[in-house]
Amino acid sequence: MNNKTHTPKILIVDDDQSIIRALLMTLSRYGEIEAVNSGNKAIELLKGQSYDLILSDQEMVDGTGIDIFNYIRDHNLKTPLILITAFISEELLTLSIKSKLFTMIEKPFTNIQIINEVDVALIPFFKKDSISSN
Amino acid sequence: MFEKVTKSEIGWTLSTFLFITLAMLAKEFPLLHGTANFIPYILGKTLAIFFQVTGLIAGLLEINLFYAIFPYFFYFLTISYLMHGQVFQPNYWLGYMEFVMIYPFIFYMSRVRLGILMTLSFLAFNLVFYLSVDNFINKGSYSKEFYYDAVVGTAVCTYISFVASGVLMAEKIRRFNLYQRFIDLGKNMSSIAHDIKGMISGPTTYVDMLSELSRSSNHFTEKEIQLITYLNEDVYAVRDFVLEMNNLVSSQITNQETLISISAIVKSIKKVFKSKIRDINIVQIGDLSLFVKVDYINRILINAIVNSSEVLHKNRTQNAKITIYCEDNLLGVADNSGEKLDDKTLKIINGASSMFTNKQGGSGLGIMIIRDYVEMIGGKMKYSNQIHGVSMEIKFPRKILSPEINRTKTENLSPSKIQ
Repeated sequence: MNNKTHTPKILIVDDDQSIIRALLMTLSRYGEIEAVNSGNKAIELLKGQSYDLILSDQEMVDGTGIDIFNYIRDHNLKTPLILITAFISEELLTLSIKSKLFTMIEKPFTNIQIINEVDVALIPFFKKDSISSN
Repeated sequence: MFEKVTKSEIGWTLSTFLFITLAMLAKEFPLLHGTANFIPYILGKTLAIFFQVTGLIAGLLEINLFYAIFPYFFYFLTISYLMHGQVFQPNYWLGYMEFVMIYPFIFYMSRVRLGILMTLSFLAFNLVFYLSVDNFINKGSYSKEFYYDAVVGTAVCTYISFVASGVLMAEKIRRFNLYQRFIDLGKNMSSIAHDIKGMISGPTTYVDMLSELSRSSNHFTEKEIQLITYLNEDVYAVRDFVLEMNNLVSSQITNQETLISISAIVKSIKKVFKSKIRDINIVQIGDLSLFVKVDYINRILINAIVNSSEVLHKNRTQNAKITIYCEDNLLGVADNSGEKLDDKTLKIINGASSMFTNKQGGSGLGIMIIRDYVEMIGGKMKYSNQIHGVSMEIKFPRKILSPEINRTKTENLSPSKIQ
């Protein structure tokens, strides 16, 4: 990872400050991290800039994780989304099977789970980065 | 007005009804075959069977409009069918019983409506029976005993059917209430489990990181100290949450009457249901001290606050606010969701009727449960539409008010003023 020219840009979306804090600690090794506390704020950010990965809570005050994913899908963005949820419903499970851009982590998560999922989700970024640096 | 029966109940009824109809046709066919009445009789009976079967299928497929008018149509059609063109014989009231006894299993309606329907049809049936004596009773069969037998027989089966309908309705309401309580408990438990899962995600992450870091150094680094600080904060947050939850549920174990204050319960609910309430401003005006089973008040307030929160979030209300006001023996909960209940729903909620309604979405969700607990305490509950939303007011019996603790007196409190 240290050999890469660029670092990934990751967005954390959660209305619980303690979760944001834990994720910031875990993801600090990857590079540029931003955090917002609502789904709608995340969508507003996506209108103006691109991210290499989004980690989002499902249930939030203003806009859900699925709202963000629908925005990504409707606008043909290539940003993968890792949904962090306390309950994996059938609907979410179906979505994760259908879409390569959508994965889930069930709460309570561990450090290793987050790192594993983030590493997998960032494979396209590292491949692209590797090609451009060559 | 009507609560739909299940598809299997209708299916069984349909099969039974067809079986009875076919049996009656088989029985009566030889009596009329070859007579002048044969064709109209068969056509009339076929038409009656057609409407009855169509009605049952409409019920089965839940075609609402037809289902709403059908119980009356069905009842009078069948009574006419029993009266019209029949050859009354000794013990004919058994034929009447076949339909009347099965009716409460098909349709549920209020006791008043059912009582009127059954009384009218009982009178009509016996009147036609009496007036048609010369035309329809087998010659030589008629006697006073035969007629008394028919009147007493039809009266008895009407009464049994009416009582059976009441028992079925009460059982259905009991099951519905039980089901509602499970939903209510499930919803709250799910919300609490959701919060706990979120709360322990931080600590598990920090422990993982600390475990990884401790392998590479023998002394605490700055990062490790930071992680320990975060871990400490998060674990104490979980502890506080569990303690508050314990405050809310411990009374369910002891089930004893204790002195409680509304403000203490609201404080616990705010903490335990933080994820449901989120950014809603909960304002309390005044306070009440009650000597009561804590669980009852807990369930009332949890339902009222959580339901209002759901509506406020659903409506995306700006500056969302729930106001809890206490005065004398009155507790009120009002929100500014803008949600209104229609007159019919308000009538059902506030009335003494035991009928239930499906129109309890929005602010109405859980009203049945709240009313149950209010009744257990011996209080009275009233819902009303205010300018900014729905308000609920509960009047507690004075005997449970604490005389020792001064209650805050607020002047001329009304839901419209506090919003």
